Amino acid sequence: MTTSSAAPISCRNVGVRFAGGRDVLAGVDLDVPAGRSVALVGPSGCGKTTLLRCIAGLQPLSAGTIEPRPETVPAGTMAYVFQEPALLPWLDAVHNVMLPLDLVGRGAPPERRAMAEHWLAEVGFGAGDLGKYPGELSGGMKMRVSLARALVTEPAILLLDEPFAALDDLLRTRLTELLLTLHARHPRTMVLVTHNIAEAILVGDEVCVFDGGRIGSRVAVDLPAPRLAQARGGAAFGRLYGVVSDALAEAAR
Amino acid sequence: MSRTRIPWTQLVFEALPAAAVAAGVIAFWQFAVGYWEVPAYLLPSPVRVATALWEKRDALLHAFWVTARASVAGLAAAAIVGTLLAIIFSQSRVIRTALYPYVVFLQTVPIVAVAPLLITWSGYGQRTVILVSAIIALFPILSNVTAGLLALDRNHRDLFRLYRASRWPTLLRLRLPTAMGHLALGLRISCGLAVIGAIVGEFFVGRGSDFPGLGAVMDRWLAMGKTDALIAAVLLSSLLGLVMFAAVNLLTDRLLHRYVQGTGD
Repeated sequence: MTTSSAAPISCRNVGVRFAGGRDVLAGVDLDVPAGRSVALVGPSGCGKTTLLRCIAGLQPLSAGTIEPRPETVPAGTMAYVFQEPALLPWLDAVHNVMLPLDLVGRGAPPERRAMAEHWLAEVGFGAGDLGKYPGELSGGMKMRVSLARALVTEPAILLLDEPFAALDDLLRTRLTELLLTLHARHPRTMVLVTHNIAEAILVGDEVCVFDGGRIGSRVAVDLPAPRLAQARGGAAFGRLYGVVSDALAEAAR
Repeated sequence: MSRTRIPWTQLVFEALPAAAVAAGVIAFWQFAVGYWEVPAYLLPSPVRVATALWEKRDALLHAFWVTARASVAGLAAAAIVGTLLAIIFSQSRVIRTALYPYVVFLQTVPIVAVAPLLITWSGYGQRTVILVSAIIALFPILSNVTAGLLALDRNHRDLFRLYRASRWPTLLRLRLPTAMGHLALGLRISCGLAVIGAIVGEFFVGRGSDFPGLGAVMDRWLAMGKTDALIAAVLLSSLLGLVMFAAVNLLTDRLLHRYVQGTGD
C-alpha cells in the first residue's frame, strides 16, 4: 500500500459571509504543518465546521485564501469524516469503503477491494462483518467504517468534524485511541473539530479556541506522542485541560 | 437484514374483523334484496352475483387476465417513462421550471376526455389501453422519483463533491439509489391507478367491438342489463387492484428494502 505524503494547510484571512450578511468566519489565519494536527474547539455556531468545510472545498470563501486549494490537488488527497457515519445504506461495509476509490478511479476492482479490506482491518472492523449493511451495524461499527472510508484513499489531509460526538464515552475513548494509533502509524495532516476538550488535547498538536468567527486563542500541546488515553491522568494533561477550558469559558462569555 | 415473520394465527385474528364485516354486509344485502323485492336489474342478490360469476367464469377470467396484462404493462411503462423524465427533471432547475407545469397539466386533464383522442391516434386495441393506463399512472411516479432524486442527504452530497464525482457517477451511485424508496412509494400509489386507467381505456376501446378486457365486458353487460355479471366484473376489478397492490408491495419490499433505510446512520 502506498501512503500519500502529508501536506501542510495554510489559511489566510479567511472569511465566510452567509446569506443575510452574517459573518460566520472573519479574518481566520491557521497553519497546520505537514503531518501535524490541530483541534478546533469553541461554542456551537462559532464557525469551526464552516472552516473545516472551507478547507475541504465544500464551502466557498467570501474572503481570504486556503492552500492547498482543493481543486488543485488530486481527488482523494483530502478526506472528511462527518458527524454522522453517512454510509450509503444500499452498500455493505466493504463497498462503502471502496466508494471513494471507485469515484476517484484508483486501482482495479480487486485492488480496491483489497485496499478497503486492509483499512477496515486497520480500524478494527471484523473480517466476518465485511458483508454487513449499515442497518445491521452498531453506531461504533458504522463510525469505524466511516473512518476506513476516509482513510482508504490514503489522504494527505484528514478533516474530522466531531466524528465521535454521537457515541458513548467508552466507545468515544476507544475510537480516539484508534485515531491516535493510526496517526502514529500513518502520519497525515489532521484538523479535528470537537466539543470535547480531552479529545482536542489528545489529538491536536495545537488547540485553537474559536470565539465569534475568529480564532481567539491557541494552545500548544506538548504532550509526548503517542498520547493514548492514559495521558489523561497526568499533570501536564490537567494543566492543558484547564487552559483550554478557561479559553472556552472566555469565548462563551 | 432479517425480517420479522408474522405468525399465521395472528394474521387470521387480524383478518377476522374485516371478514366478519364482509359476511354481515353480504347477509344484509341478501336479506334486503328479498325483503324489499328489489328488481334484479337494479341490484341482484349476492347469490345471483355468485351464480353469474360462476356461469361467466371463462369470460371473466379471460377479461381479468387481459386487463391485468394491460395494467402491468401500463404501470411498467409509467415507471420507465416516469423515471427517465424524473432524471431529466433532476438535472436542472430550468428544465424543471419549463416542463413541470405541462406534467401537472397532463395530470389535470380528465383521462375520459383524452381517451377518444388516444383511440384516434393509436387505434382500437391493447396499445391504447396500455397508453391510457400509463398516462394515469405516470404522475405519482414522476413526482415521487423527481423528489427522491433531489432529496439527497447533505453528507452524502458532500462526500461525492469531495471526491469530485461528476454528474453521471453521482446520478448512478447516489441520486438513483436514493430515489429508489420514492420510486417504491410512487409504484404503490400508481398500481391502483394503472388498473383504473386500463379499465377506462377498455370502456372506450371495447365499445362496439368484442374486446375482452374487464372494462369492455362491463360496458357490454351494462348495455345488456346484466347487472349480476356487471357486479361480478366490478368485484374482479377490485380484486385485480388488490392483487396489483400486494404484488408491488411484495416486490418493492424484496428488491428495494435496502434503499429505504434512511441515510445509513
